[in-house]
Amino acid sequence: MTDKIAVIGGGITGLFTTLYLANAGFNVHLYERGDIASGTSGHFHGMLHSGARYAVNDEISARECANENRIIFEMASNFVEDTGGYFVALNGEEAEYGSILSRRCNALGILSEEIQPEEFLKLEPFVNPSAQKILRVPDRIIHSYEFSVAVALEALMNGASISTNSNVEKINVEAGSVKGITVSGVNGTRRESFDYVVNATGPYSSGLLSRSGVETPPLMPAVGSMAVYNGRFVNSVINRMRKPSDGDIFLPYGEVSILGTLATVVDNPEEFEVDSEDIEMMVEEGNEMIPALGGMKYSRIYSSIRPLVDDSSKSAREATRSFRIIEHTEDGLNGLVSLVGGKFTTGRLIGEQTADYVTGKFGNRDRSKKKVDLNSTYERFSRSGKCRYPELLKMLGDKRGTIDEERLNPALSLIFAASICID
Amino acid sequence: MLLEGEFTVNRPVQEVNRYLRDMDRIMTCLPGLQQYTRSGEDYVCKIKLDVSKAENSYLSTLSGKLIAKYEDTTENMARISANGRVAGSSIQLIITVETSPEGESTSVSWSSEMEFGLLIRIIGESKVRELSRLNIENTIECIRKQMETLQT
Ligand SMILES: Cc1cc2nc3c(=O)[nH]c(=O)nc-3n(C[C@H](O)[C@H](O)[C@H](O)COP(=O)(O)OP(=O)(O)OC[C@H]3O[C@@H](n4cnc5c(N)ncnc54)[C@H](O)[C@@H]3O)c2cc1C
Repeated sequence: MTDKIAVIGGGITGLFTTLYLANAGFNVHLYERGDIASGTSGHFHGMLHSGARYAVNDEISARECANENRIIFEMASNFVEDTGGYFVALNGEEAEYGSILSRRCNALGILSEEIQPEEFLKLEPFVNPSAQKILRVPDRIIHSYEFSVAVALEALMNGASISTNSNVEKINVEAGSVKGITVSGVNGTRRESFDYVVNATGPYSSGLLSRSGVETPPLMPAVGSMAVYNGRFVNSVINRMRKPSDGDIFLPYGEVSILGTLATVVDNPEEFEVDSEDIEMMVEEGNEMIPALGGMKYSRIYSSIRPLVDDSSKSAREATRSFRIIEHTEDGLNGLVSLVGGKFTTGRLIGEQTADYVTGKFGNRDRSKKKVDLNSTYERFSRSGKCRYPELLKMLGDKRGTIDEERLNPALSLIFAASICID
Repeated sequence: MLLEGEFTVNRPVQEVNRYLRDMDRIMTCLPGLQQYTRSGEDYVCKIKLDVSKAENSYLSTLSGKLIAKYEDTTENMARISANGRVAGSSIQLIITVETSPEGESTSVSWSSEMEFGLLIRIIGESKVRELSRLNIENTIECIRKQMETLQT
């Protein structure tokens, strides 16, 4: 064995898996059919969950998020806005839920603090003034693309290879073992040999697996949609104080505000349309929380697919994590795992646990405990000589000190992302 | 999934029959009703369907709109249908209630069916049956309680 591993899917799960496998010394190659984070990881709500949202109904997710929120903030604070979050009760029933929520947060070690509505409304004047009960929690906001590119660059600097715009057509199987993949990119279609394949295509798994003749894990793809409003109406993550439902989170992201989410069911996760009547329902919910939105039109809607795992076969109490690393050996196939479930907030954890799992399979190496520091990644990559567009880097450098310095910051991610592809 | 049952209420049949024609009261028993408006014969309802039984952290409740109306009514029978969309999927609830006098009391037999359409995909086949049963039972129990407390 040459310990050659392919990771399919450049969302947050595949990126962290690639990074941790590279750190463990594997010869790892990531394939992404579009750009980095062009799937759900580039179309989510932007929250680095504190865990509070899940504290009442999903203890496992809540614990995972609470831990990861701290870890990610420590390793990548440059990409995180430490806004904090608030749960807001608009009626008595919601205030009652708030008491349960507060107890559950305490039990799970999620820092929460009740603050007076008058005090809160001074901080968030656009929130409905009839707010009755307010709970502050450590929710944060994560800048998806810049963060995801940093993970990719870190993997690259640790020896991984990454091909974007490379669609994996098929996982090649011979006599019950994975032999590699067939991939098509700008240079045509080719077969590549690998000892092991990690399928991190998440919500899009079904298509790839069925094309490869592999049994599909029990996925329940659901579309989630969000509405974008021009302007920052709030300074922090505003959650409605009730069981997770539609239209109950509103947050600032860069220069816009985002309302979400709306869950809808679709036939085909690769091709769908969300009905405007359904969007209106979410908007009505959002207007209750932020009345000023009532007089405005959102500027756009974006949607993506949630990789929900059908765990009906297992009792929730048995489950120890919110995601699954599915081995296909039960279907008589060696050398392939599929990753399903999780959240953007827990993408690092999934990547780490997958790398541990795969390392265990190879049995001839220890997992690297190397500390990951994503705050210095861009700086180190700039100096590494690996950037393919030094002239663009210089142009951007020259913008320092100008009125547009901060507005142009995200351009650095694009320049670096364009340097990643080796197809 | 079709569910049916029977119960007796301690009220005369005329009162119970009158109640069965009072859609404004029956409406309040619809699963997850948030608010409704009347438009001619139709009752347009905003609902939040509780799907927490599906044990999915993202999906505790799903929003939707239903249009409820009488399909058929006779002296001793009322059939109400509620059709609409929840989470982009079509959903249907039909309830038929028949009454017959039993001395001073009324014997009520009911049957009901709930269809979840594509929602099965995200809730899961196994949980959908439980969810239908729960929603139907809650609706019928609510109707029974309202019948029990009818004022003469
Ligand atoms: C509406 C919504 C809001 C959300 N909000 C939040 C939130 O606020 N906070 C949070 O923590 N989580 C949130 N989540 C969850 C989170 O976004 C996802 O769990 C996470 O992004 C999934 O990452 P992933 O890498 O598994 O999947 P993806 O990001 O979808 O990555 C899979 C990748 O595989 C690629 N791919 C697919 N097929 C192929 C192929 N054949 N060959 C090569 N590449 C392929 C795709 O292009 C894609 O980039 C939200 C989810 C949704 C739907």
